Amino acid sequence: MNEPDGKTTTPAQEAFAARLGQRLRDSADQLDGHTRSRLNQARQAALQEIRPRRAWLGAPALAGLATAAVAIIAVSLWQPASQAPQPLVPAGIESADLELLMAEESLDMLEDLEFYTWLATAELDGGSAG
Amino acid sequence: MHRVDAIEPQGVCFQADGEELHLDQRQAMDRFLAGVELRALRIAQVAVRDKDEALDIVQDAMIRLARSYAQRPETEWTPLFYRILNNRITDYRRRSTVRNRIFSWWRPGEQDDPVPQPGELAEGRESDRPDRQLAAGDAMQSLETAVQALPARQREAFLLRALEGLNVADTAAAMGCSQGSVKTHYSRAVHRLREVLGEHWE
Repeated sequence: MNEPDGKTTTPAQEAFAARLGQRLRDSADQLDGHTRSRLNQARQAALQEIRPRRAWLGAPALAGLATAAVAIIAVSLWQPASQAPQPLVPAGIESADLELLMAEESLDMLEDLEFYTWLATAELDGGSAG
Repeated sequence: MHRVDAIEPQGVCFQADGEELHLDQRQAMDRFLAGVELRALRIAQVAVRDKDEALDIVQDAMIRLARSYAQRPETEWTPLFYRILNNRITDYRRRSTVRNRIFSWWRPGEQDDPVPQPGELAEGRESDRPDRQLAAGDAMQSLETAVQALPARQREAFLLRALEGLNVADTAAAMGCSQGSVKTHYSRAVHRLREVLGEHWE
């Protein structure tokens, strides 16, 4: 049965999706003890990373730091086409592939940017970060 | 008794019982992570088809949430966590694709791609086809294979809505797209899964 506008789902499709979701949830609940133990260890490791509620000092300076960090990243990413280095990789392998492979955390930067943006916003709002 | 002093005009906040507040925060995060970890692992497992890699991805998402967002309101944790998780999964799949492309260049003729790409299913091994797996009685494996073969955004929308049970708004926040896009991806995912699995799962 096709959906009429490509965005809505019919009751039959919803029921079908609900059955699939339930089967997947059931399989999650049936994970073995060893896996649960590893998840517990992972959770405990994550909890160690929580930083205590911080006393924000010098909001303008921190906002400036966040802005500077964004600017540095933007400048480091910008590269005029005329200065682009010639590829030194074998034919058939795109240099972007190698960059992606060699990057430590390619998506970390985006998340950090998001965090810095939030940090700057929170400071401007009067330190109501929590 | 807890006492939190006023926030100074300069944004300097002094907390008399900071340790206890930190403990509350830690307990809340513990409860949250314990509540989502099993389903998060299944989502990662379905996406990357490797339990150890999936565990690493979930742990990484947990650490990142705790480190960077523990002080955000708890109501924001769910979409934030799944956004991080999706980013990690996407990152893994990209790296896996590139790694295999390079390995296949160095070792022509060898294909070692553990992650199927969208549309790849039709050309994959016969034993990977959902209908063959259903015939063999492995319904869960057929379901996972069908979900893995979905395009990434459809898979994300389906797993967040159907498995995790997020509403459209939270799914949109987790996916970083509009609610309309979520509805489209989800609808297409369900339609496709019904085509592949329908007669066996009705």
